[in-house]
Amino acid sequence: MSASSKRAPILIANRGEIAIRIARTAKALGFPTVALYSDADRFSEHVKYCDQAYYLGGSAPKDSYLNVEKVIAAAKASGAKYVHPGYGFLSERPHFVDACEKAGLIFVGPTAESMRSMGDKITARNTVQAAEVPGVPGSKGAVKNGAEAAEVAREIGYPILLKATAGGGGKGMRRVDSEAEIESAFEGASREALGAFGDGSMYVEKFILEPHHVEIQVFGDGKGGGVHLGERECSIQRRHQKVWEESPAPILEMYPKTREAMFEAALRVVKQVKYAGAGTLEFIVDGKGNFYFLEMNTRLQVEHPVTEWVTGVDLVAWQILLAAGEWKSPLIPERRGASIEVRVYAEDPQTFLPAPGALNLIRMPQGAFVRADAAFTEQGEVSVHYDPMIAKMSVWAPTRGEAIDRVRVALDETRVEPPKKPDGTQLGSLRTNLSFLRRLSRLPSVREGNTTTDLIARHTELTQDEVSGQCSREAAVALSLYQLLQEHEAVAGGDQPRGASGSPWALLARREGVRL
Amino acid sequence: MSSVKGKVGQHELEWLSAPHGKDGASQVKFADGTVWEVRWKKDAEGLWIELPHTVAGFDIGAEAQDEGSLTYRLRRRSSNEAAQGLSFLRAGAGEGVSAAGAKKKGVRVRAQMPGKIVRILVQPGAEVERGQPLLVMEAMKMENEIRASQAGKVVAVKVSEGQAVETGADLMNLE
Repeated sequence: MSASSKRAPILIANRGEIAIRIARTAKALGFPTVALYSDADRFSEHVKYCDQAYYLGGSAPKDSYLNVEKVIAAAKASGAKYVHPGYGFLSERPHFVDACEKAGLIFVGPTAESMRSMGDKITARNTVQAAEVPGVPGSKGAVKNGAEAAEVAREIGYPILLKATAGGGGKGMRRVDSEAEIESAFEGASREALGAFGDGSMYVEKFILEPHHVEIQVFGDGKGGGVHLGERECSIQRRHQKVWEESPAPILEMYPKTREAMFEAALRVVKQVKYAGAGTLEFIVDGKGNFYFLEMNTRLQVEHPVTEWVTGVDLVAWQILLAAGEWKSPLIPERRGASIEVRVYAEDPQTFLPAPGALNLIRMPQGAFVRADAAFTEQGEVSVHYDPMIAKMSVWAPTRGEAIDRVRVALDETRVEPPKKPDGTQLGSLRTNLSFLRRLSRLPSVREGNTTTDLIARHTELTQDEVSGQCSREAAVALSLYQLLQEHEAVAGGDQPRGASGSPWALLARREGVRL
Repeated sequence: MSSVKGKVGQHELEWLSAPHGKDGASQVKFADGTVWEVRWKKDAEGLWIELPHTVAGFDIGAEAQDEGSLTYRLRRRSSNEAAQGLSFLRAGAGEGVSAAGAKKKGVRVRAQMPGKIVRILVQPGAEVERGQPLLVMEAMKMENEIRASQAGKVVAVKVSEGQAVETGADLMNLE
């Protein structure tokens, strides 16, 4: 393609799977790609995947991916014209957009102004209210302490949610069921928010019963026009973080009128803020089909592949083309079939506590209508410095039921293993939620579409130990065989070192010698 | 080579010749007299086995118990079957040491990741219930409550507030 030689480079100010995902599309469109890396990421996949790579600094995000001066300096040094922020890190920081502009770089995303109007949750709520989009009842602004929070709670009624104004991803968030708990909950959440975001301010919100998390993907042209690309339901969460995302939303299949009203509301907001690029309006939908605006994410979302599957739109391509002035507003894309995404995390499958560590083997699923976005292709290390997501996988099928079947098969194929010691025990601290996801894909409630946000808490069988002491004959044979082989190897020194003295006869002699 | 007799869960079985090697073949006999020819090949995640009536792959990993013994976690590939806390117990040897740490005396609460101790919620001598928060640890920018995996008494607290800990560090002992 002749266009490829004329394209200016695009710097990807991120890491991991999303950096690779962005680079894939950039390459396909003919844009040269520039990666960034920290100490911890010197040999990471995203660095190897791009055409160029620039070193930022230390592993801590503030010394690398969150450091505006260093990112801008790398962009200038690389000759990049565009900066794609991915998700997380600098993707929703308006001062970074300003810095890009000042340096003559084109930020792939919305303007700093629309980011600010949606930036913290209170401002966002006021912004969407102007577009007549209802929010969840709650405090007008930040509350200073537990007593103030209790006052608001008395008005709107328990249960309530305490949330960090600068928060996200469940950090600095607590459910409070009665006035007795409010003081300690406020303290804990506020301290957590201060540590994570440098800002401990909190606000109060009504806790919605039978809640479903439903979000609308939009794409704006920056002049008030734009389209929606349907919804995603991301109700299945642990620790207030999504693990299973899908489209269409099971709850909206019951309330098609709610769906249409949400689409209209989302487009009113796009118009109101003259939104540019990809954005997501998050809503909570209760069991009766009422919906309330939660927040707007002014960036690409982790779960965007679900939308790409049902619409056939490459959202990153749209983002880049809009930044390059080549995007033409299309009709609202038609949506077909059903898509589901699951996230593979380095975490304990029972407590969901992060469990990063060395990774020795990764095998992602293959097959028809299966997509894998992984941060690894071979051995590596899930770093303690960053989000512990290892990979995500998504599937498409004509119906939701068939999509669940494909997810189940894809999960059975997936392997993420830590290194092992000779006795078969694992080396290092890596654990994954794969066993949890496999159970989730087999859970009847999931198939029935009964996907309220407390699904994981309701189904304790998802996080219980396997029943001990019982197994099939085949399993008993496999287990005893494995154990005997490991023990034999430990005693005999193994079949391995096939080095200098490693003729089979020498090994045999040694093995027999040990036995005598 | 000699035979090996023992038990896995409810199954009594006897390997007629002790298996060894990355791949090979042997015979296994069950309590009801059935004998299966078994061929196997080890792979990166566990074992592939050929039996008279079927073939099957198993992902298998060992887990060290607190008292030093090993138990195994196993999953039959592409199926719902999974088990953990099992091991092959040789006939005559340590019948009492049943799987899943039935003889376990105490529990060591360990750090599952590197982090910092924010708060300690229980002191030595305290009786705790299963699931009760023991301490708050900050890791990966999140405050995480470390909870008791079983009911018991706190015998020792091995860390102090503000202390940084590495993966695997002893935090508390329960009895």
